Amino acid sequence: MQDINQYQDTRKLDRPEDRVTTSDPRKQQMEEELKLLKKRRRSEARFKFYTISAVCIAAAFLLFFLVDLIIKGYPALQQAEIQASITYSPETVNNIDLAFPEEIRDLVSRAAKRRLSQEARIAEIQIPVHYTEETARNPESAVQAIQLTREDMPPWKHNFEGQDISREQLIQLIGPEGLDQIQQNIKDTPSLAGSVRNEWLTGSDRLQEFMGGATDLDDQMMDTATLLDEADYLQMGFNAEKYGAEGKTVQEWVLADSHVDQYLKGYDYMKPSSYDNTANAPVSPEKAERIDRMHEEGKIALHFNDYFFLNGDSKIPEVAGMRAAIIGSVYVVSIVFLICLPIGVLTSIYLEEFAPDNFLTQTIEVNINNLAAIPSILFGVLGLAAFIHFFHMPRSSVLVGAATLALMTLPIIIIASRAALRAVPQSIRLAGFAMGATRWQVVLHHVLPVSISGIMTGSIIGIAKAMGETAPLIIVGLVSFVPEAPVTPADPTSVMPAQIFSWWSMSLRAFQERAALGILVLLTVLFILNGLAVFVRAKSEQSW
Amino acid sequence: MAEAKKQKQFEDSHPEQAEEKTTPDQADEKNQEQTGEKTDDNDEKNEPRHTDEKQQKEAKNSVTSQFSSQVHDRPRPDEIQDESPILKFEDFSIFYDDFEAIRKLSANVPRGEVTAIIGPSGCGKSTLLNAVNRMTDLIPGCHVEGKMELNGEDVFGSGMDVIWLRRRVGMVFQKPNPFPKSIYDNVAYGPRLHGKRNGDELDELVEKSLKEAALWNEVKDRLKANAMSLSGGQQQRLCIARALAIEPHMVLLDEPTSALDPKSTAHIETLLGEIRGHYTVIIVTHNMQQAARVSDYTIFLFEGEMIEFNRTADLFVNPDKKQTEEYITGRFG
Repeated sequence: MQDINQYQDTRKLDRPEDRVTTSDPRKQQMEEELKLLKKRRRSEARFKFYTISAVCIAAAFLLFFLVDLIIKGYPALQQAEIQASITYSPETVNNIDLAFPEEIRDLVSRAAKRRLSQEARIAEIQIPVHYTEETARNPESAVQAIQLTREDMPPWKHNFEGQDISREQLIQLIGPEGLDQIQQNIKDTPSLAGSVRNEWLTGSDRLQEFMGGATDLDDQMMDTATLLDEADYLQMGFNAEKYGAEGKTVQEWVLADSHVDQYLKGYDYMKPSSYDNTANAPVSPEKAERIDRMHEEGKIALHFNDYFFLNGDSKIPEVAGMRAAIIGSVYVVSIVFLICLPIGVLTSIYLEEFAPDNFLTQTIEVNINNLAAIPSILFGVLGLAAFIHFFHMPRSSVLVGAATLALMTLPIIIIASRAALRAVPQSIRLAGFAMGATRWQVVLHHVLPVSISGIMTGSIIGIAKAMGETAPLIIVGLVSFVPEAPVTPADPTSVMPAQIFSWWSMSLRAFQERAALGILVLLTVLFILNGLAVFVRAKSEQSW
Repeated sequence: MAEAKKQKQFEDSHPEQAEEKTTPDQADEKNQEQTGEKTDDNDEKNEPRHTDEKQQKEAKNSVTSQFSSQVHDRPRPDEIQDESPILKFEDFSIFYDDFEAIRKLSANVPRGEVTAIIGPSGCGKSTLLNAVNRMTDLIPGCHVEGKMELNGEDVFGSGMDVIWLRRRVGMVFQKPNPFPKSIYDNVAYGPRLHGKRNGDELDELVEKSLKEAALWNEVKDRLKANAMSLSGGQQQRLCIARALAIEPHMVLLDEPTSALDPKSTAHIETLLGEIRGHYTVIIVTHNMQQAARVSDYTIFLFEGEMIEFNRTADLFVNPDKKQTEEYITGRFG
């Protein structure tokens, strides 16, 4: 005790501040230290300034990018439509232009005209009808088998040897509506009994599908229908049932041509005034005046562009949409997820929990890290060589795209999963082992439940990367014109970034705003995926 | 008698702390005073001094009342009643690659007693303990020479299944490491692992184990709560309950109280006193007072060699070796 007190006393006498006030050298040193301190503070302020400027520059780039995209893409959310009175009649159906008032004939989209003309038509089949007394009660009896001969066929079918079309097949193609027509005919004019007349009859649903371009009918039906079509026994006639025999006039908003749309949105390149020679302008001064006038009258207006989300790709800009690409992307990415998650997680579990630390596993580890750093286009080359040339997967298909992206995503998922597994404290594993659990039980009962959130977070980020990837897909043919959404994995597909790429390389300016809107849609999907990753992480965060 | 001897030894080696050595509870109260250390426990915040005494009393009552004292009515889990040593070392060495962490150790650990392993840091205490249930298998480059027998079976022999071994030798670690599951699942994990799946039987076992670990009264209303919500001391008792739930022949404790506050330490020492005799316990500790309080036998290790192995009372009062004496009197280590 005594010693300690003495020590404290000596300390008291030797306090630094006392010495400073009494001795000059100490004071000098203090001043020097203060100077140094000021310098340190200045350098800290400078460093802080650098870091803040870095953040500001990054934020400015991002802001510029986003604002530019929104300005370019926002107009694509709206699409010009024209209020038209459309006259459906047997005359206009063969020349749909006549169905529109002359004023708007050149303003309506080609695609809209084609759609309307298709809707006004119905598939019909011409057969000889044998009217008898029986027909009124049983119209099927009026249908007889017919024989197709060389003369019925077009000239290029010169070695056609004739074929019988059975009664049953004809009845299948005629369908209930056609039979009703026969019945109605004999009821209206009973004198027909005993005669044979060639009649155009409404086709069955299956014939409608055939004429609509369907190819999934059964083979016999396909062959028969194809023969009848070639022999001119089939036609698309006016749909009298829907619009009446005399026709009908309907008021409807129809899609305007992209020139009208672009002009209404006020792009300079559409205005006749921007051209020295107005003949070069996409919209002539007369047309421009007409559009302006109709816009004021409210007959042309910008409406929400649901075509963009409901249609697939098209060469006609005003109907081109992203639906097929969105479905394609989701399809491809789901398959990538199904392939990568089990393989990636099992690989990382083996490497992290089971593998001995030897040359082989170290080599594997180094190479997985190398794979994650390989430029993605090389995976496309690998996919082309392996999946298309060796395994003969169909080019442009969902499957080949998914397999190629899976190659690219796998290393990312493995690295993320290994990090998640490594973050599980060793003490939990030891506790499991000490209880007599096997290695697999330790992984299954203790390591996986707490690391699953990390694994999912990493996987979602890997998947988001795959969703935005274009380069490898160009090589395996996913950047191509695919208007239909895929159904089976072997179907050709497009994906969102590929769709954006192909729109951006189109010459028509109207595609540019769609590409910009496409980017916004893709970014939204990616933000949602990343948000999901953050949510999963926050939701299942484990404190130790 | 042993108690008195121990205390005497204590008075010899730590004259300034002599009066504190009556019960562990009081000892810890003293410790708390000396260090002024704050407890981490949620329910054991530092209160003003005047309430502390009362609190300690209550705590002591609750500790003793929590023990069912049924432990000794049951047959010992190893079902061997003779006094043959449970663990036998013969020229037993442990190597980390070329480094010899334990050097030619020969000893017989008595059945049903508490054996403490003491020694300065890095002397191989934990290594030796980890070798008993072969946790050393998990360390790359660690291998052994010589022989270690558990109930006559060679632990490192080819006939020993390591899962079978660990089912018989429970272990509690330095840092409480409950599984991030419910309290119930933590205790039931071992029995489930080893084939007990009957619900009622499990419930009984969980209750029994938690009572043995003196935790039942505190958690009986929230068995479904996450074990991570318990305080550090409660977590460690949960780990002990978890180890006891599989009825091991032997329990290894690797500095079980070094991460705990004095009050939790007292809890755990008391429960060690309760299960002594039923389970064979080996405890590694840095705290020599703790070794003196809880153990029947003590092994003193120094730089991988066993310097002395004797009854705790003898070792602390009359150490044979000069090194032992210097260590326990605090002259090195």
